[in-house]
Amino acid sequence: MTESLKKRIFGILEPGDEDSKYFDPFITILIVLNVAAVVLETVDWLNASYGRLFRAFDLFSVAVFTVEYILRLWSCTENPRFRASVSGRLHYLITPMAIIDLIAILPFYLPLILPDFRFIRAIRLFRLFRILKLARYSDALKTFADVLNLKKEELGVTFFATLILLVVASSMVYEAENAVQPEAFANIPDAMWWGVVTLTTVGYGDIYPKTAIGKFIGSFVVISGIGLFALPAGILASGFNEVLERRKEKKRKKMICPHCHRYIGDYVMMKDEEDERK
Amino acid sequence: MADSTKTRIYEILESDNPNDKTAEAVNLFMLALVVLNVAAVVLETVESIYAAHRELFHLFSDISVVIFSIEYILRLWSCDVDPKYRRPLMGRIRFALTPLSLIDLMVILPVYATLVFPTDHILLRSLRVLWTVRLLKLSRYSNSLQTIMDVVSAQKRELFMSFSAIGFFMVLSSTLIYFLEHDAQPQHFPNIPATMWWAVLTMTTVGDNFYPVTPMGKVVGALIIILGVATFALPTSILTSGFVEELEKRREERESAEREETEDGP
Repeated sequence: MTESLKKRIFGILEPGDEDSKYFDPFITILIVLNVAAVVLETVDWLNASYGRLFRAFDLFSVAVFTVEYILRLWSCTENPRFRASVSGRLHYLITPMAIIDLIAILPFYLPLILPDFRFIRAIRLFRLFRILKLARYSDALKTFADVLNLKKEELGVTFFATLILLVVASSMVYEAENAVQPEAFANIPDAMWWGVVTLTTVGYGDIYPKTAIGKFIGSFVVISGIGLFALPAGILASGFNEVLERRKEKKRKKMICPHCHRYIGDYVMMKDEEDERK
Repeated sequence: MADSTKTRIYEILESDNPNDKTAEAVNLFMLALVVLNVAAVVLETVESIYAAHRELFHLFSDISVVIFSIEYILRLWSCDVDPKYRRPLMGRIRFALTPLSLIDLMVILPVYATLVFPTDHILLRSLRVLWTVRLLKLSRYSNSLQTIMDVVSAQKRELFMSFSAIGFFMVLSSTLIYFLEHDAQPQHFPNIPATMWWAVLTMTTVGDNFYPVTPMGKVVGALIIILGVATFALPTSILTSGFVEELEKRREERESAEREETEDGP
């Protein structure tokens, strides 16, 4: 009896099957509303007029998320990966999604245990990490993670090159400018702020070189460095294309005629078929 | 007799046969009228020009609306020539519900409404800019719009995903920066939505005159900017590569068509 109930609950909680037809959209909407609430709560006049509503909604969400967390922990043994009743659950506890689930509810319970008012605001903003719960349901986020994974070497190399350029350029501009503008270019980290703002072409204009030599080095750095800073975008875009292309290919399967065992063309697999193959 | 007139009117208003000189002339006239109307709406917002030529602007607007009304009525009357809208009543209703007809109605009706209820109708007359949608019909003459639509629809999954990533990134980074900068600059970062405005201006590299000033804000800000500029540039890269792909495909198609032609030749 309990076993079948556990199985049923596990089915409902796992995204993307018939059992979770209502649960998936419900929890997705709840997460999105939570994020919207955290963002809108910081607007003073909204908080002043609807503060009670925000708090009631938060209470409701935490209750739902807590029940969800406990049920997930209880039913996770249905997954062959976490079959053992104690070590399997401990194992489940340290999976990324379980940690995210915990972070989503912890901000509510923490002040009850440690009533330290200094952290109240930080803890309230921590609720925003509930947005990460969407990773379970959002195809886009999963794809993004795949892309980062696929391109991690290229991205690593680019960021490393970017960092070297940034450090070298900022040190040079710092040397040139520090004597003339000791406040603006007080130290190399300050000059690095200038470097990031300039090389990403944001250009706030809060600090900029004024000496001739500083301007010369600055121009040289910017002209040679802008391309480097634009590289990650190109890498990510080609990663997207690759990941989606691969998925399309994976979905296509050779069709063999059941009678003559000859190849008769490709067909696209249905979603449940894919799950079965996994 | 009435039927042949109707067919002729339908042809003039709807046909895209380049050999039909009358239809071409009418088409061109209507397009010119659209362009002039848009120019008028734009110029009317310049105080000095509007004050000097007030009467002219109003006269032009009224004449245009009358012409477009006549055209609308003629279209509605003659649309049952098209087999798609054959049935006299249902066909006409369906024709009236097509996007272009609805837009026409949306522009014309408010102007007549002001005759019944006289109000200040500057805004209503500005609705005439909606007529620019008619220029979309030109896409059958120029390929470029179709190309853009093809690229967008071929890359719609990639675009959707990159926009999701942007939204996700924006919410997270705005919250972090709000948390780090709110106390130091409550006037610039009063709440998270205002910080999101900072995020948009920064990641699109437009830049504004408010930025993180605290040391932690600058460190986190620098990281966010480097990652964010790349994320915000994703749609651009996707569209660019989509364009290259689409143009490549077309060139190949054209080349293979040419090859076939030469093979078919003597």
